[in-house]
Amino acid sequence: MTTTGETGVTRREVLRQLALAVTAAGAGAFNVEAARVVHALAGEARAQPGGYSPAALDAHQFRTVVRLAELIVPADDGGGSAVDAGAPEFIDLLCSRNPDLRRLYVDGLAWLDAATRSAHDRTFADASDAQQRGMLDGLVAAERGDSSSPDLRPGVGFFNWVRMMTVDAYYTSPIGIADVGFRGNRVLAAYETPREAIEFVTRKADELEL
Amino acid sequence: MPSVQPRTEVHDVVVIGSGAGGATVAHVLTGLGVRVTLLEAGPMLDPYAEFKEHRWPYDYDHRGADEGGRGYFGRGKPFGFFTTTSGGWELDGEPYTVADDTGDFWWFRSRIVGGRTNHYGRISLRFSDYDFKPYDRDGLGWNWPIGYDDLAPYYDKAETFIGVVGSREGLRSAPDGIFHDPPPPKAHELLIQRASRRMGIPCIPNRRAVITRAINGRPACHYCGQCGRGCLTGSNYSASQTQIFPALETGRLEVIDQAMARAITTGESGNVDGVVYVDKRTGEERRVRCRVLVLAASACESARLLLNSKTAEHPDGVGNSSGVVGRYLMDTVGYDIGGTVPALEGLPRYNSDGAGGAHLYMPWWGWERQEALGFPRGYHIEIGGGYGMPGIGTFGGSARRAGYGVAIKEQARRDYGTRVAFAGRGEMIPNERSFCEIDPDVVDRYGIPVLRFHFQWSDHERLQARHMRETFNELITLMGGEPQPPGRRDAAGISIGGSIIHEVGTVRMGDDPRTSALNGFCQAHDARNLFVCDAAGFVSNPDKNPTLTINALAWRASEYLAEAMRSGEI
Repeated sequence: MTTTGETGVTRREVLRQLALAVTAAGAGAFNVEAARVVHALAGEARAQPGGYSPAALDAHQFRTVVRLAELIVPADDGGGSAVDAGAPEFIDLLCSRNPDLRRLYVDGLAWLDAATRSAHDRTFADASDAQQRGMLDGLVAAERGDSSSPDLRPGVGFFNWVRMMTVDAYYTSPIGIADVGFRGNRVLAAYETPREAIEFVTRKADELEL
Repeated sequence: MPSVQPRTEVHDVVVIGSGAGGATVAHVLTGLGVRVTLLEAGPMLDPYAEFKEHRWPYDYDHRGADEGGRGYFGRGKPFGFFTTTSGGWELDGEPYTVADDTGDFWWFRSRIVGGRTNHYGRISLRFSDYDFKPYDRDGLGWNWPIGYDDLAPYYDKAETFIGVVGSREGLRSAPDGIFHDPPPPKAHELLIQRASRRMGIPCIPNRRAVITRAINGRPACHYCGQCGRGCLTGSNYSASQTQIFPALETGRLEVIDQAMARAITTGESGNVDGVVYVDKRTGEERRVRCRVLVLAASACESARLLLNSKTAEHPDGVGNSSGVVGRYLMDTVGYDIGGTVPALEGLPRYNSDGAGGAHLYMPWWGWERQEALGFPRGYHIEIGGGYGMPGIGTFGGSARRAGYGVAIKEQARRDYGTRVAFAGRGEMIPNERSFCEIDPDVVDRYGIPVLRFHFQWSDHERLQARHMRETFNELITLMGGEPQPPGRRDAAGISIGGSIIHEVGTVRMGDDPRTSALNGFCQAHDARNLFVCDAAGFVSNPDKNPTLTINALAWRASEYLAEAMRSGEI
């Protein structure tokens, strides 16, 4: 994955240009900001996958969250998975600082294991890939009010939390931001909308007879 | 009155509040050689410590969900973790109440040097000539004691100093100003512009307090689109960076921060002679004596201070012989609709950050055929959309639609950048049932009696909001999109009072001292050395966001005050 490297370059460039702009303005104290960004970069390095010890969830709960994150946002050609993006660590970290959220996860994971056991006689993490997907399919069906599937409605609220936080962790990571193609957060000398973007909307406006 | 330790020094001018009004007064007066002492209820601002400009969500272990994920529980910062918003609709230890028999009202307060200008939307619109004489137009509300020609030179000065992008359009509803070159439209805005033109609605370059060429040592905008996070290069207007910091460099401004004003004191002939405040660092009560007092604590806070200052000469509160202090509270009529526009799927990705906020907006277009519309006054439309920085919640809707798996990624790639939003910002007519008063039963953590609010929209506003809904639905439908209903709102579909944070009009100006508290120079009818230079003096609340008019009124009042001090009149 080259994304992190690219982002680092972008940020160094932002810093350099900001430094120029601030110097030109005659303002001071820029070193403080530079030091802060260096700290943030160091924090990112520490947060890389591997070697993480969960702070709020036990080993089994964390393993279950890892599997859920992998299923909810898997890797594909456009980018890595939510696990690559640090979703399990994000969830555990917030649980460690918020008793209400931890309760929600501990209870929700217990429900998921119980529901998987009653269907397949195994915990969710130990179930087969197909069984796990079956459970998620059932949750999505229940969420949509589809009554043809087994009724998993009691777990829909928890599933929503895991999905929301997993998706958030992915799209707030360098890989998720690159996946959707965000190009901003830069220092520019001038703003310009690219010609191909203008031509695209002009064509669409014509098609809509606007 | 509690025991105090009066300082012997008499300050020339004491200003309370450092937002758009107070900072303009401090900047203009110090520039004219007058010494100013400014009391601010919050701390000094340190942009380098507080602004999160250019940060990525992954620079924080909570990714922007805020400490312990409190943003997920509705307990995060208003407008999100990354904004430089200080304060909010609820402050610890500083309650307010809302009367049982009225609509809801939310009161937003910032306690920091620069106040709400540190985070505000920076939309900078002049009032139209007709906005100063609304009663003459339709017999509703009241006229201002001043007209456009009185304020125009001060709009000029304010725009020239703070810097505003815009274009000359010659529209009566949106008078042209002194503008920096505006940035070109974003791609989705061009599509919106085509739809608006079909409906006969003008869609013109936005007018925002951002500079696109260097002025006064401030470099031009660098187009990161993050004005709301605070701008480290000071390339947009904030009262703190643009006015307070330079005024401090003159040596004529002293800022006393963490100073919560409790009451105004008066001396012989009813003139103001000082202010009692709580030093929040020590909890001690102090007093500053002054020759002139300028209130700029925000409309409702200024009204509260006046009402809490009952003296022998002012039994109903300083400056309140008319009884109008607290009355005629207005907010802006807000109505928002978003929509997903499939025509934007596949638009080439590009950096659409731009100069912060939208690059286009729609000024009011119906002022010539008001009677046919069935409601008085008007609104402008702010627009949203583009490829914003992904953050907490950005793809929640895509995920729900897709279920789980690779489908979520595919849905997010399709959805990204296809959402547009329209926000109507319209004029509320002042009414007798919308006001604030002192709650006799509740005090804040400093022992200061708090405000109790009464707030009611009328049919004027409800009909206007309905027009907004029809207009936005048509715009989105013309673009082939699916309108989605707005978020927070009251039963009639209008934003909750105070939620747009344009509360104005509680110490209104006027020619008649029996029906107004201030004259056209923001000077109290009852005390010649008392001025109110925030939005409290507004007689009406046109569909022009108030800040630029606060700047202009405060600038005009400051020049008048400096001259009166020079001539010995004050």
